[in-house]
Amino acid sequence: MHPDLAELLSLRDHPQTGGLGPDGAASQHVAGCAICSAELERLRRLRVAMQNVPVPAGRDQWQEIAARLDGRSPARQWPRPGWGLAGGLAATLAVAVGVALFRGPATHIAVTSATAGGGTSGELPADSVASLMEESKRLESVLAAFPAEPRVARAGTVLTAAGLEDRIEWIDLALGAPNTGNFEITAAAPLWRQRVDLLNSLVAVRYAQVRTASF
Amino acid sequence: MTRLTDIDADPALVARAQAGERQALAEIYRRYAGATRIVVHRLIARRALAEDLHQDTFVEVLQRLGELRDPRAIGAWIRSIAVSKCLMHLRSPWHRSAVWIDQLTGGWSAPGEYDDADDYLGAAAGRRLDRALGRLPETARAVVWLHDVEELTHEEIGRLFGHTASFSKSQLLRAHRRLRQLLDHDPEKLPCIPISQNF
Repeated sequence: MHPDLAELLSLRDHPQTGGLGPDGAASQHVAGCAICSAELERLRRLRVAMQNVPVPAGRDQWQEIAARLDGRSPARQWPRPGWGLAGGLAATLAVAVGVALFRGPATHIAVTSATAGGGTSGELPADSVASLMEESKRLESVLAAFPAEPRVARAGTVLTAAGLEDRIEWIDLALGAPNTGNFEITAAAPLWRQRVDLLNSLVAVRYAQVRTASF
Repeated sequence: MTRLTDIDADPALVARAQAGERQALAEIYRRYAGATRIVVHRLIARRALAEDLHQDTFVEVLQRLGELRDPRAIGAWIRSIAVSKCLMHLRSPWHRSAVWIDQLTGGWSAPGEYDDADDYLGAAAGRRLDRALGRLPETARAVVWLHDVEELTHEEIGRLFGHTASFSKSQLLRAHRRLRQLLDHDPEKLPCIPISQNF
């Protein structure tokens, strides 16, 4: 029987002990098995290859480091989630968990579709599209009220915010595309829900950014 | 690739830097920056974040240099600060919320940062392995790197993560299984062929 991966790794790292098995059983097997010796060799080569994988050359950061050592540049702080951020994330998490838990048909409520001609009645999730659109609009006004982004910011904050904005744009594209076709309003609800979640997260990120910049 | 622990320590240089000599501090940075960058970039896949952490690491190293008792161990000491900074970042609520958002929205994934336009990777094999490493779960990637490249023991890695050696072993296995899938090797599917029949 072949030694498993754990035994082969042990044999690679501690060849003198003959692997994990009693009396160097793994070592004896590998010596007589072409497949296993090839696999052991592959693991050895993989380790050597890992040791030689290049890493992008970075810029010389000495001037910035020297400035920080002299106190000429303030110590950079990772954004610490305060109550606002924690609250925002908790709310977003609660919404996401809620959606996951109450996605079943039992939680659907009957609402009147505003878009269907003749006021037909349809089944919509508990979060109606109208309320999600309203919440989306509210969050956009909150975002608009934030001060302009600082000229110098943590890469982590900028990347996170940019990622969220990109995803909101994709959702907007998806929501906009069906306008010309036959698009069920129920199909839009998950997209609007996701848009609200993303906006909530973006508000939390912008709040943390403003809070960090104020120190 | 030069590891931090492979760089010859210069106790006289360290002593001058500990005395606050600016030129010696700059020399410490120049000697160890490249090897430190490798560790940080392997543990933190997002390049911009890794650069930030690299800088943070050196600020801390140079500020705390006076605490270093054995100048010959400076490489291992810098590595421990770099690894600690990276793991603190990976455990931070900030990072975890970003990961959660990524999962929620099916967003960012590491390989995107290592696209074909990058010219810093010369060999195709190196690029494949780099991509595969980038696709590993971050804990598994950190463990496989610390074990296979930095040659830390399972006990040392377990302590860094606040776990036991078993945690490190299981993460190493997980990383190698995933690497094998990503690199298109799956010898477990092959039958055992005794060497005498094969050759």
